[in-house]
Amino acid sequence: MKVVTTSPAATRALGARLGRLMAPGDIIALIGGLGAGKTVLVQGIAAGLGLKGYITSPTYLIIKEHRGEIPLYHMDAYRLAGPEELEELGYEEYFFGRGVTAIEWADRIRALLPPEYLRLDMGRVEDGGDEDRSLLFTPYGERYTILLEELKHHVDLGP
Amino acid sequence: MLILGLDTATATASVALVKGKELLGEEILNIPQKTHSQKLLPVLARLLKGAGVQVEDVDAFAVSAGPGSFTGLRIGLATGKGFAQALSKPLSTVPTLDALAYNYYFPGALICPLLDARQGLLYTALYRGERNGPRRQTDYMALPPEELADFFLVGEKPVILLGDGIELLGKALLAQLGERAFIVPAASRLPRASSVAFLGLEALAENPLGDPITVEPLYVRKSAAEINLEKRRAREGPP
Amino acid sequence: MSQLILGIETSCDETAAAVVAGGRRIRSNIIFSQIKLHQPFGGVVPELASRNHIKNINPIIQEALDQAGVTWEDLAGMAVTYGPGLVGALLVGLAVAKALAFARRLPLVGVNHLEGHIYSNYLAHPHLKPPFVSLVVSGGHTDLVHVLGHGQYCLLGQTRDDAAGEAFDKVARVLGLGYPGGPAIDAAAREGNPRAIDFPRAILPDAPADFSFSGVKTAVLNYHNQHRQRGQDINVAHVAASFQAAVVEVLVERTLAAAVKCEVEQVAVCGGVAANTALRELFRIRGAEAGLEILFPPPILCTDNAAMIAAAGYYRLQAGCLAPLDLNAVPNLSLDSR
Repeated sequence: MKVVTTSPAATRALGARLGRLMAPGDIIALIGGLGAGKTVLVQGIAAGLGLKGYITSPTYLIIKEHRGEIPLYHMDAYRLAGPEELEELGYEEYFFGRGVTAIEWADRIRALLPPEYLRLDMGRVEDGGDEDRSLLFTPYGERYTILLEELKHHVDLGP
Repeated sequence: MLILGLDTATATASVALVKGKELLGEEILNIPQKTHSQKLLPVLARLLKGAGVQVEDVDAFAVSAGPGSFTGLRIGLATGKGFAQALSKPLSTVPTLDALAYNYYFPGALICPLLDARQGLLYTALYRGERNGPRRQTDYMALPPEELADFFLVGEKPVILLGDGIELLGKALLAQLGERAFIVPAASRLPRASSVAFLGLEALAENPLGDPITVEPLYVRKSAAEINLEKRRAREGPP
Repeated sequence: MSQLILGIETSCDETAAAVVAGGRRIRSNIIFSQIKLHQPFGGVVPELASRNHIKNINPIIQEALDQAGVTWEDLAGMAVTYGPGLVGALLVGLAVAKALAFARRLPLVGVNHLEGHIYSNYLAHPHLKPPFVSLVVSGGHTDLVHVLGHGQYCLLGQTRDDAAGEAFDKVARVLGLGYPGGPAIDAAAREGNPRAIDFPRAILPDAPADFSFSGVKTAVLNYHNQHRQRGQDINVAHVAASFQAAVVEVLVERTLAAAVKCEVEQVAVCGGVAANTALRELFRIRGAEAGLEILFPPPILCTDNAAMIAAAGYYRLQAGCLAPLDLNAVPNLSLDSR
């Protein structure tokens, strides 16, 4: 499923729709370069989960935990040189925990991702505006196929 | 000589007090829900109190040095270093696999301590049981369980298995070993600080000064950062 | 009772120990920076940082004692950072500190790293007295704090996305200036015109003490991409200077507005980004205009250090806040979660 958003606000709104559909144990792996809008999308997911407070960049701390009815575990794998470094941060508590996990720069720790997760490739749109972003969702596993089907009902995919 | 042993290489935390050839006391807490940072010092304080020993009376410290969980190893080693520095006493680092093999060595047997190294790998080394202790036959290794099969092929000796990595061995390998395999009873299967302390005593008999205060854990696996950097340097050639 | 506190700090990539007397006078301040180790990776690699902390922490503690000319018997207590920071890195300092304190029977206090930064100005300026407003600005934090007394803080505002120092790092990466980004952009900007490009200053009308630096980061990226697509070179010095001006202006304006609102006379700026020359210069000019005294620590106290931890620890110890044996690292610790 591919979506193009035309502003950070639209990316955030899409994240919020997704967040409202997400359940404990869900994992979303975000892949895309600097300024692709990964954190903005996660801010939306947090809003959709009903979390209050700021969702700031996890770059410095690698993992940020946001408490709520369904907690959000927000990770940034950019500075991890490889999967075992995330293990040292106790990732298992997060992946198999009672919250939603969002991982930025997930391509850096692919070996650690469980078999089932939602992959999201984000990037700028070629010949598009500065604020245009393409979002390509790929489900791995039935749970995420269903999740995307539900999301489709809520999103105008455009022409 | 009174020595305090520490082991936090796996999810198990243990501390032990050994005096000469005698075990004075040992505390083991196999509660993964709590971190070593939360467990280690309270357990240690309890052991000292129970044994009626003041920390100043301890003559030396022995720490399980790895391989194991990187963070766990560092908490144990940092604690041991802190004690050694504060009291100007020697510190001895003991390879975790050596200590594990020491838990259950039987003369003539092949001893195979196994620790879960994550990502489908095992930390292991092979030991030959002798009357006065296990004698190491291989390097300390991090390898996939399948590769262990080669080490088991030789001979008819019983193979003594212990450590938290046993479950990763797989049915095929266990079936191949058949009657030769012996899984150590649960009480001796996990790392124990008493074994660390006894081996620390032996090491200090050889080298009374112990290890330098800058001693590092025995990681066995390089950090991914170092591996990546080496790859990059090899590609780019010498500067 | 002696007034000497031994401080230990390992929250990120500096291994540090220091001895401070009476919470104000630095007797020694040893900092081992790992920055060269992390440079090839464009940022601090957590596992590498932890590996170097465990190797170096004890000799650094010894050096701090030796340089201060004190022995264990002379100390009144110890202080250690327990958050925020990288969990594996924090745990090394914490484990060493707990063992040292236990073995020497010294009282130990856990110190919030951000509180530590606030205390760097107490060390540098003996006349600094609460209440004042403090801006803690570094690679991981951008917090505006009303300091009401020792250990009493009111968080006025914080970043909603990237920390200021993080924006410097990311923009430096895009401009090919290397890591760490703060000093690199500071240096490049000296040759550039801060008015050359009009990068956005985020306005947050509903929260005037909050910050947002994600927008300006993306604006620099856009500028860079547009020129690259057209095959045009960019003037790195102009971009660096203009980006820096956008960040610095927002930091200075929000901080001074908060100081006026809180009716304080002193503003204390601290953290790694407080070493930025443009930030210091603009604070100096605008502070004078507003009739406020602006305080900065010397650069050696802007960087992560243990003297600030010992200073904060001294006051916490006086307040009787002792760390339990099971004190754990809290990577997400914030100033108001104490």
